[in-house]
Amino acid sequence: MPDSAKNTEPKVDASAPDVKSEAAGNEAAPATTEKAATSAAVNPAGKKLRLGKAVDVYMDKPIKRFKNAYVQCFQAKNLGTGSDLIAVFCDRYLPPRFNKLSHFESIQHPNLVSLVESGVVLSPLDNKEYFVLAYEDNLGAPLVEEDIGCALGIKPEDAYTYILLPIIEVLKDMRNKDLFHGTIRPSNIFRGTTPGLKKIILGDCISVPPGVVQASIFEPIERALAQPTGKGPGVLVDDLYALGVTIAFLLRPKDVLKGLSEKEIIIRKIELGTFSTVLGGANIKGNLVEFLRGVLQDDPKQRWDLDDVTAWIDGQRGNITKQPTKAVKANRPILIDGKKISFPAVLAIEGLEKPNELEALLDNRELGQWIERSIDDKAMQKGIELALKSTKRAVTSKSSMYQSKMVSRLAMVLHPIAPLRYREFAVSPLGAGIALGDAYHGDKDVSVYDEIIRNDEFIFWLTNNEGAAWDTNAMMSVFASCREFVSTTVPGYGLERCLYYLNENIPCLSPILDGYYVRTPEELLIALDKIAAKKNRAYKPFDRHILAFLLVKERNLLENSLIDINSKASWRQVFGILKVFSTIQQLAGMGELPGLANWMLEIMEPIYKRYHNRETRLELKTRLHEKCGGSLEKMFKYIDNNDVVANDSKRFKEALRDYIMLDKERDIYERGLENPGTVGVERGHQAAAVFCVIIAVCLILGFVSVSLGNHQYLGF
Amino acid sequence: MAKKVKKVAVPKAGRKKKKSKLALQFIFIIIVFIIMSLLFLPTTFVVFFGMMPTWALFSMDGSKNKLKTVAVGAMNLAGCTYVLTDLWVTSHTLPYAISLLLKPSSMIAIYLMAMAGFVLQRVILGIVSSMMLQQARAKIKIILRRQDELKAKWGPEVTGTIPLDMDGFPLKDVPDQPAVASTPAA
Repeated sequence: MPDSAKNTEPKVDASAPDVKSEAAGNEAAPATTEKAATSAAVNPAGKKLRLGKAVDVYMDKPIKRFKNAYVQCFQAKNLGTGSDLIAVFCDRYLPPRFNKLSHFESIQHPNLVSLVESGVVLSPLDNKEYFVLAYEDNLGAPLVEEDIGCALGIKPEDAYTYILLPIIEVLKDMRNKDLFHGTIRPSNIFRGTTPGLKKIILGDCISVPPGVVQASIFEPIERALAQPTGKGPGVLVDDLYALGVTIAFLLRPKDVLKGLSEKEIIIRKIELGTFSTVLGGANIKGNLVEFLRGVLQDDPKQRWDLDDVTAWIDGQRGNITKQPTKAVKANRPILIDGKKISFPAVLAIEGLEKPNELEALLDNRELGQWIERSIDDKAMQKGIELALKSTKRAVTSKSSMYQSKMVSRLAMVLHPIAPLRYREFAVSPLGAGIALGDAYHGDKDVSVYDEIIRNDEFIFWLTNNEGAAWDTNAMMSVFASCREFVSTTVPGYGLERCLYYLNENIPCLSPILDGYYVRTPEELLIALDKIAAKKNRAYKPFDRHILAFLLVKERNLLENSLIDINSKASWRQVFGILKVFSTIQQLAGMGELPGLANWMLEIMEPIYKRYHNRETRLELKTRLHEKCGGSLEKMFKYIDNNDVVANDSKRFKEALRDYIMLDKERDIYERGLENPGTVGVERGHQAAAVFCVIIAVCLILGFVSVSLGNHQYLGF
Repeated sequence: MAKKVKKVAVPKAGRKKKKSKLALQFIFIIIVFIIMSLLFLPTTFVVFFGMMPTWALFSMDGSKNKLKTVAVGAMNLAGCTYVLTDLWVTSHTLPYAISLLLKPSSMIAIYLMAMAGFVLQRVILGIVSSMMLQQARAKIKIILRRQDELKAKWGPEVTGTIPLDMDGFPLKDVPDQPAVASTPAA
């Protein structure tokens, strides 16, 4: 079963600011000077923050409204209008729905809480940056403080007029902006400032990912079975379902689900249908029954959508033919651990809790016979065979993964629209990114996600849900890419890449950026520029998280440099990352980044050592230190000079050859000098011979001419 | 293979032919020399006995190409020429040749010239050896300086004594050392 504790009990969140730690936070205040937030100024007292241009957040005044396991709330004031605001500090690992922020902001509806300002601030409490949403505080009290056990017994006409109609109007606006609320429940509906229920206001929905803080009773069965972080984005019919449960809770005179656990409620929903489960036979007068039957349909295809509801409101009841349908029920129950089970979906729930029993049912063919004879679902029968075959093909029966994989796949076949349930995880494919982000919180074990992606569990799930509302082929392609990512261990890939690939809202979770809220490559450079001045910073300004983050945000930019960055040669790593950083700086038209430039200069030694010539090294070092300032682009231009490198290499080879030749020459001379008597003997003999021959020739000619001169009578 | 053998065999035969040609030429020269020696017997007599120091040195000379003999021989021959001119001008007869050789002045002239050749050879050899020794020492100094310059410019890896990778960089980091000129071996 999914862990529902998060919905009711506040989570100990290391990354969220804790009001009790204010004193400690103030002690660490000097650090705030070097960590200015991107859009907020910190008051010297450390208790008041400026958000945007005209919102003050009072960090010494925490409030409970909107507070949940993942977010902290503080009082705030709009300096422009003087109105009170609620500042919601969002979680780092379960970030707000950034992609829907502008959509939400643009909705100006009197029955929806109004978003006044948003941005990143530096909390003085823990010296960390947070994304903050500032809502108008005109909410009044919530309908109820606690959703569980809610049974107000209000009149159906009041529920219709004051609750249903305004919320349907809000949902229409949200539909126009392609928004899903995800947190419609009595405790998130406020009474407003007027007495009674005349102007209710629907509360916050974008401070956390969809469904994360929604109690499972307000979720359709397929979403309720998922862990809070693994429900996925949700659609408007899910909002209508939540609205239906909310209306039912308000109408019913007593809590018929009292004492039941979440699992028991879900099983009851499967067996009896949500309508019967939630109302428990309560006699609801008026026409709301029809609405409730429509929106509380357990088959998503049969569930009323907004058009159906609008038509019903308009009185066109005759056009709506959808009737409640119940889940597939077996003619004969099957026994698992002594319990009689008549629904495959319930068998999946029980089987996941008792995998040995489910495996035994499969091994003794009881499961197959039950499906064949009592359910008569040939598709399910084939699915079971396929699950068995595919599991055996992927892992041996002796493998530790065998049972988890087998049971998970059987559950997928028995209840196809339920989320992927693998060991203690229950995640919808569309919610995998959010769940993975949460798993990274506090260094939890994320290896099970690696196992799920590597073993194609999501792809098997998708093949069982080919008729789903979303594009199954696109999702298969997404998870096939994820499988490739986790199969590659080099930085830039792995599970980190899946995290950013599947979760577009999550900020970069790199330990290097501890405390900084980085959502874009530009923000990354700005954060690194500030971190550079810290004494205890990392040696290199990048790690697996940063590379994976950039690969997702700027794939084309980084992919070409990834070979360099992942190279064993340290100069190539520096070269590659500088190329990426400089291109980001250039493309974003950012100003100078002296801190980051200095950081890069500190790790530039391998780049200098790329040149053999010591003079070139020194020249490059001097040029980088003196001429670049904070421009990474200039730095990269100086080091990106292949001609110089090639010439240097060529000249080094020549020098190497020269040195060896000189060595040989010197060796000859030195060997000669070992026996100095022999030096120059040959040359000496030659010189002497030549000299003597010349003298001799001269003498001979002299003798001959003198002699012949004395004997001229002979005719000479 | 057969072609190869044929190819190798052809130059061998050529070399043999060349050798036999040279041998014939040598025999021919010897015969001509003997005939000439007999025809000019007085001259032969004077040269043979006058050049005795050269023949003696020739038998003991261990220098390359018998250069010592060449030096002394040239001077010795100049001394002989002093006697030979007298022989050729006065009477080219064997008795006169004998009488000339028996004259002390002739022998002194011949042997003094041979000795002068020997002394010249020794002096020139000493001068040249000394010059070359100095030159070698200077050359070693220049080489060492040039090698130090190369080391300073390209680092210790230029010496070729450090294991290098394919790009010419040391496999292990080697710190640059200040260039120190080594003294040449004495």
